[in-house]
Amino acid sequence: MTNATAEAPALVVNDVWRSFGGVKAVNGCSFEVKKNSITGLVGPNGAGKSTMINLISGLLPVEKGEIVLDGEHLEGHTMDAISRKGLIRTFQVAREWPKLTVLENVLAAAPAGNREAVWRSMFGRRALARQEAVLEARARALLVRLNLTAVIDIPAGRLSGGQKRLLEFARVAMVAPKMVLLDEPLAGVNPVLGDELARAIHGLRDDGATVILVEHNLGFIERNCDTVIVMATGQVIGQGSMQDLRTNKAVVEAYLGQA
Amino acid sequence: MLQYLVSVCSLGAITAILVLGVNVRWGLAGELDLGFYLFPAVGAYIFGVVTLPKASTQVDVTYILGWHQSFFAGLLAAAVVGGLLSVVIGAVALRRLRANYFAIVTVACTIIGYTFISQYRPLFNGYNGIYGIAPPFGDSIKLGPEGYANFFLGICLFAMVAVFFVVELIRRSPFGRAAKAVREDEVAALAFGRNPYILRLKAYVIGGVVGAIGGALLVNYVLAFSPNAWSPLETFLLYGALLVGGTANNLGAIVGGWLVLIIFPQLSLLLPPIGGNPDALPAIQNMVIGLLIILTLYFRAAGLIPELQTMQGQFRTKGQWNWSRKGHGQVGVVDASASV
Repeated sequence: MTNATAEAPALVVNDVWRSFGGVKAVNGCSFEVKKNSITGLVGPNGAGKSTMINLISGLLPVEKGEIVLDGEHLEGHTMDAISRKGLIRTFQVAREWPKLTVLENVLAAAPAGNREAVWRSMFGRRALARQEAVLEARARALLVRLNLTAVIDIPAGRLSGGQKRLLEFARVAMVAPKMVLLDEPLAGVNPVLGDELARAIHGLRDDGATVILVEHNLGFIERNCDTVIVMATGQVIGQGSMQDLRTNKAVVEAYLGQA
Repeated sequence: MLQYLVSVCSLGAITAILVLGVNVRWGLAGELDLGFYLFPAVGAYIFGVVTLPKASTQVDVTYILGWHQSFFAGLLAAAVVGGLLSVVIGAVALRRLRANYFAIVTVACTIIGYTFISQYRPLFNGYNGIYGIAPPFGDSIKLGPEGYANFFLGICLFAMVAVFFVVELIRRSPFGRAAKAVREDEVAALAFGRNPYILRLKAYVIGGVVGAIGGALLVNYVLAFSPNAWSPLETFLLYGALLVGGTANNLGAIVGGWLVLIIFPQLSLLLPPIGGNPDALPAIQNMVIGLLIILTLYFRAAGLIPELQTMQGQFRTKGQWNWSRKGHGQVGVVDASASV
């Protein structure tokens, strides 16, 4: 926060449009996200938050407008290409690879490089084993940090909902991304685990990532976010700290007033 | 009797290779490819026309190439053509299609291929097929018919072990892990920067190459190949074998291939003949295989040898048998590297 104001923003969303049939889910949405911040994205149901996340991450194509990550345009790229540029997202439902073990899940999330070339499964296996060993050490350290050591070798499909969330953070951290989009990370998680997830989110930020957090739990947003962006009917209606937003008439009418 | 056993075992090794090919596509990458048998067939034809001499004009036979090349050249050609065909079909079928739609396209491609090969004579002599393929190394190795049969069994078993070794290395590699990830959750794979299309296509091509190699060996076994010898339906038997043996486990694929497609049909030959109805026995065989598949899916859905769960990352050679599905408990831990 201290020197972030002078820096160029990590993410610029400029006049982005997207509709489904006749429904305008996102119409002319613009905002900026400061580097290395934790930014909340909130708004009533149907405000276009999830669509916005899907547009930024490339799951949905943008109809019009620009999305720029660290000077690189994301619009028009596919999800996997955007991911390789350093933007990782999670989903409302944790999407582990159920039959891979917890450790394999983390290793399979690490940037592929050329480790996944077919010929490497047959030739130069010693060099490959060395590369994998380095990654494995990192993966194990992350799993220790997230309290998943006990389940490291069991298939991820057998984890509890909360453990799957923690595993997701381990996979994201393994990538060491520039930016992380977290889509309702608290959904379906018991409140006790909330603190652990909050720690994981701050951990990602401490590792250098910029975090965007979509969440309905405003207490959690207030405790953990530097800035909050409020969306309603497909547009940004306010941005600032939670205190500022409480005095913002448009935000109160559209969202906070209901709470 | 022993001669018969040697012959059956040769076929068993070839069948196991075909099931391993299916396992790369369906087991590893989750591609429901119902047209798999096109690739063994094309491998068999290509091996035939590469090793056969030019089509004779005296008898009414036509086929392409006729290069009169060696066994290894034929095998290589079969593998290359099987791979190229996989690239072409896979590139189209895998592009936008998922699961059941993909399966329909593969079936359609195989039926098109089958009909085309049957009807278009200049390619592989149409419905009469190619024949007169010389036994591999027949001239250079001076063995009696018995000795030669043993030698051929040796070739087939060696090929089976070699193919098993390669697909097992692939399964344990980071590529295998990524292919499994795509199988498990494609969107998550996308989110972590993988291109599911490319990963699937690679697995599809590997499966096609393995299938074509199996087909090339098959034509050495039967020494002739025509549309009579194969049909698109053959694919389902390979799936049956894989389901019973253990989907996504290469050892399971081999066990399933031998058990379902070799041992069971042989056992059913011991049944007393049904008077006046020679067609009954093959029909009963198919019914037994069908029943076996249903029972397996019912009582042991993961197959006899379920998918191996590796520890310490896919890459390390330590492994663990996944007996511990719900209700079974941990039965045993085996070092899987011993099996390679």
